Amino acid sequence: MRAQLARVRVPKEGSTDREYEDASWPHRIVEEAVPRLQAAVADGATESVLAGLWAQLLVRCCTRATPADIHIAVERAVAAWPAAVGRYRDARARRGTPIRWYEQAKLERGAWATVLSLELTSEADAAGGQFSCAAVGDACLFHLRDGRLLTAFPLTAAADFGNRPALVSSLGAAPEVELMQGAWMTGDRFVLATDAVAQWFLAQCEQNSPPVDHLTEVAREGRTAQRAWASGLRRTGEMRDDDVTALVLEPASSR
Amino acid sequence: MAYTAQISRGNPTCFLFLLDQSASMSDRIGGGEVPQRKSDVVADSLNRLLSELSVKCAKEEGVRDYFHIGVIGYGATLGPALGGSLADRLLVPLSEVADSPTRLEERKKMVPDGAGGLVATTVQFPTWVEPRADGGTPMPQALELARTTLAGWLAEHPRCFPPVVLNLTDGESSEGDPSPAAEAVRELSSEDGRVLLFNLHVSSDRSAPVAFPDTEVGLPDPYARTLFAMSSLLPGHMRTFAEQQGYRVSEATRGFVFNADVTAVVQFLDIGTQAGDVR
Repeated sequence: MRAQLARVRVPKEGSTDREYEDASWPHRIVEEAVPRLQAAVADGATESVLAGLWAQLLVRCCTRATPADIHIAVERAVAAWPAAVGRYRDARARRGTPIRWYEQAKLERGAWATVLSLELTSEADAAGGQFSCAAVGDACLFHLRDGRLLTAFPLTAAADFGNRPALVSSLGAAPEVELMQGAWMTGDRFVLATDAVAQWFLAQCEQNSPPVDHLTEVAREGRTAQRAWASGLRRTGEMRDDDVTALVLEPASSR
Repeated sequence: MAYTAQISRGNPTCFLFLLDQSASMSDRIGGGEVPQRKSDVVADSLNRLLSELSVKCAKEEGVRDYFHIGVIGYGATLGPALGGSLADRLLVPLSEVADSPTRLEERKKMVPDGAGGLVATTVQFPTWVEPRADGGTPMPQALELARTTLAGWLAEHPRCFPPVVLNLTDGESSEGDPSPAAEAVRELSSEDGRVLLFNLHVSSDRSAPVAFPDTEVGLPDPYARTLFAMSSLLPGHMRTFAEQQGYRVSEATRGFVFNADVTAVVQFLDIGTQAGDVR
């Protein structure tokens, strides 16, 4: 299997790229033929400190385990967290800006994030394959065929998004995981999206049709155009002001 | 709809605390196992709240200025009551508050060790406000200083989530009826609603607190009824939070606690500073 990839990444309005707290994988087109392809998005909770670093760590660990084994991926991320915080702490000290009392207090409360992990598999000569997905919280997977939405997971309606999604904590509490699986065919597309853009995507599906071509075009226009696109939707109230991350993945069999 | 403005660094709001520092604040507070002076309890609770707000708004690059903070002391003197480098300033961005405590004490605390046990850790406890107890209770003048301070703030932040004024007192005004000055504070507004004025009466009495009442029926004296009438209705999101804390609330519930003990002081500050959506 190979895969085309389009990726949209935009920080909150008025925020810099350094303040962007989502994470995603892969970063580029999968050109070599592989039997197994893994993708993930994570959304670091704004309320926690080092949320972006935690989201990156979760994505890295989730793309090295199957979705069914997401608990193992989370355990690895939790185990790796103290060293990641230590490196951050050392870097701050070297820069002459050691951790302040309020950062220390907040670090002890842990970092939090939603995460969505997808695995696609394919037999060498098949015209498609199987997929499985694990989700904690409200980052979503959309499976599309011929421009139609086949599956939305774990949320299925724009009205389902709330303020308190399930989260994965760096403190190690067992997260509330939802799992699903299905089959894909060459030509299908998958969208992995963090909550704000996922909610907009579902609202578009409910009112018109899945905006997957539109999202792909936005992704190919570059970062400046992506920011302008998100700003426009935020101004009209069509999309909440939050970090935006969307991957459009189009797998194709290798035969 | 009022009290729905999103609080952001571009559109911050403010909390203004009015702190009674009159002589009677050195009396012991009602309730609690260990005898404590009212001035100590109020200052300690306020320092904890400022610490909690700082931690809540902390990010990697520092504390985000979702809130500006003011503390006005009234007793033998009337004026700004934050200490150290913040002395003489009426409203201060939260990031400056967080970076400028007068003292940073280390205290021991037991925390879960992740294996079902507890382990001792050191936490840093910052101080900005020192307890004081001296002189009379010039409450109308404190409210008037709050009004002029907030009028200036609102001119610069017309779209903000309405500022919240939390008046912490233990006695009657020694300078006349505070009601007109309180009304003048409550009449200030942003595009998102009127300024909120909440009142907390700390008591030496051991009788149960009257917390967040929705009627003056049952309040023990004219002074309690005056403070009740001076207090704003709790907006919806604060009512919800108060309910989650176990208080019985209705649409007529006011931000007022009478005969507060130590626990009620902390809960009053928690509920009164539940601002809206922070982003």
